[in-house]
Amino acid sequence: MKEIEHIQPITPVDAYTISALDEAVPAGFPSPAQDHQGEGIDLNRELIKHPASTFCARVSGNSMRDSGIDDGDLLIIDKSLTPHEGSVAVCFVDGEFTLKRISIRRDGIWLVPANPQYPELHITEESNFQVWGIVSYVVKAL
Amino acid sequence: MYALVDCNNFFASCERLFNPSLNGRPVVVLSGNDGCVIARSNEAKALGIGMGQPAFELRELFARENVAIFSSNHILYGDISRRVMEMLSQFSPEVEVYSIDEAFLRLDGLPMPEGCEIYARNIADTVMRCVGIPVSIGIASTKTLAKIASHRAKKQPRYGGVCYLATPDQQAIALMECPINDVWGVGRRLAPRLIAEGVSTAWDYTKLSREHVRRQYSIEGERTWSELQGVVCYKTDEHPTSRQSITVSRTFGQAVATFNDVYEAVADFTATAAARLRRQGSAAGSIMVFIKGRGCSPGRYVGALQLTLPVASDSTIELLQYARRALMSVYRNGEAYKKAGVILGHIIPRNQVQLSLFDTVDRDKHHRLMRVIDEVNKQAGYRAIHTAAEAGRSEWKAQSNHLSPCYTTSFNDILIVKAE
Repeated sequence: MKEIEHIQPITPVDAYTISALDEAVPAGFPSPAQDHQGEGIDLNRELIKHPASTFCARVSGNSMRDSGIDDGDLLIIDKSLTPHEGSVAVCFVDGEFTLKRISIRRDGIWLVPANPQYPELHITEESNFQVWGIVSYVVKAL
Repeated sequence: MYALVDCNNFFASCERLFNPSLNGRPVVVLSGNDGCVIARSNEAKALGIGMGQPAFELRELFARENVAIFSSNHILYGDISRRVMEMLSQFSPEVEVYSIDEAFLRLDGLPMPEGCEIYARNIADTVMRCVGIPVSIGIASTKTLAKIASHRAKKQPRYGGVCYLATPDQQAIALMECPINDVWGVGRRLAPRLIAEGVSTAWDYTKLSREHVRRQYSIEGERTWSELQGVVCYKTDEHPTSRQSITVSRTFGQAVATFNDVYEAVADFTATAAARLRRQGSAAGSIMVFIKGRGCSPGRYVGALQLTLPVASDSTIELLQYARRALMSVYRNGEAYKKAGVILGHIIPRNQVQLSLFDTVDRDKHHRLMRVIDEVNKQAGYRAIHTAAEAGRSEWKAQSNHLSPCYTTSFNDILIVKAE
């Protein structure tokens, strides 16, 4: 089991950097692994692939519960991602931001919740509808 | 070849990004203290709302026409601007950020298999999709012409957002339809003289002889004259009006009279400007402080003094000393002040600062202190740490009754998405 040798504090510029040494360094003998020491895990870099088009939002409600997205979760939204079948999308529908999964069916686009208590939405020509961005990560506090 | 990318109704567009129900509705953004209109959506322009018009004149119109009103949210606009510029940097290795909502891109040598017009449409589509801001793009052989082209793209819907002045004919038409005031580099100062000698369009200007232009309108006038004819005189980051100063100023919510109250405001502005200076890796060689009394001009008191620093500096502490000295010279007892401002000038990159043999300032110490302050403020919030000079009752702080949340820079302000 590798040990986290050294946790660095969050700097305002970068995010949390966890430095993981491959193994404890014994005295006297150089470790063959020391040349492969990782640079550190930067959560910003991992979670935010396109900083210019990435935005954060909070979830209010539990209509996406069955997809593991709960009330109060943090969403990482990337406006540069192309919507696909099954994408979890932040949409602007009828004057508000709403979270739904995209389903492309024979009769058009449907916005589908992940909770049987909530209805599916059929998007038609008349719908006041816009995909604002695709959710790439959900961050939840436990 | 240059493209000028210009965001459409930028401040209003930023507000719409986080509230798409504002699309189609007239939107205005008001200046500090909710004083005047500094941005309008197209619908607001169509209602006759003028740029700079005082808000109190428009109260009835705003209510009647369901105009959405916002107080200027500089933090939000600055962040969205940063994102737009970052997207643009993917399309050209030479991007000059000219203002908060405009940038020049150099297109020479870039692989554009479908031509530069399609390339530009791709830029516009990408910025709209990824950041959510609509832009207009003008393309031409010089920056001055690109500015004219982008203006056409913005004003004439038939261009679909992109105007490429590809041929001499297209260039000529653009010049004939461009009023002389709208030519980049011809300001309020030169336009009256040009109009007086019969020059009313950019085309007329190019018809003057080079010698005449050089004599009457100096070397800058001649460069603009050449640029209008397709000869590059200004490359990336070259133009007299490129950002060479940082200004922070505000109109006060309430007039302030005592020296300490005015200095408190001036100190606040100096700290803000200095933080901006450090963020862009620059140092300033001069600082100007100006204050304006109540009332209208002429007749109202305006005092301004510029001090030159022996060594260019980016230290708040040092700049505050000069700001205080300047204010002491222009401040008059018995006056009530309605506006003040600080302008940092003679800006150079920090690594080009020339030290003086007689320098008494411990610059290393200042740099280290400034770095700590900037980092803490970034984490704890806007100006969590500030100098004693900036603190205080802040009677002068502007009212902003219509401020939208800082959706992209403040964790507590992020969008709420309904899963209901």
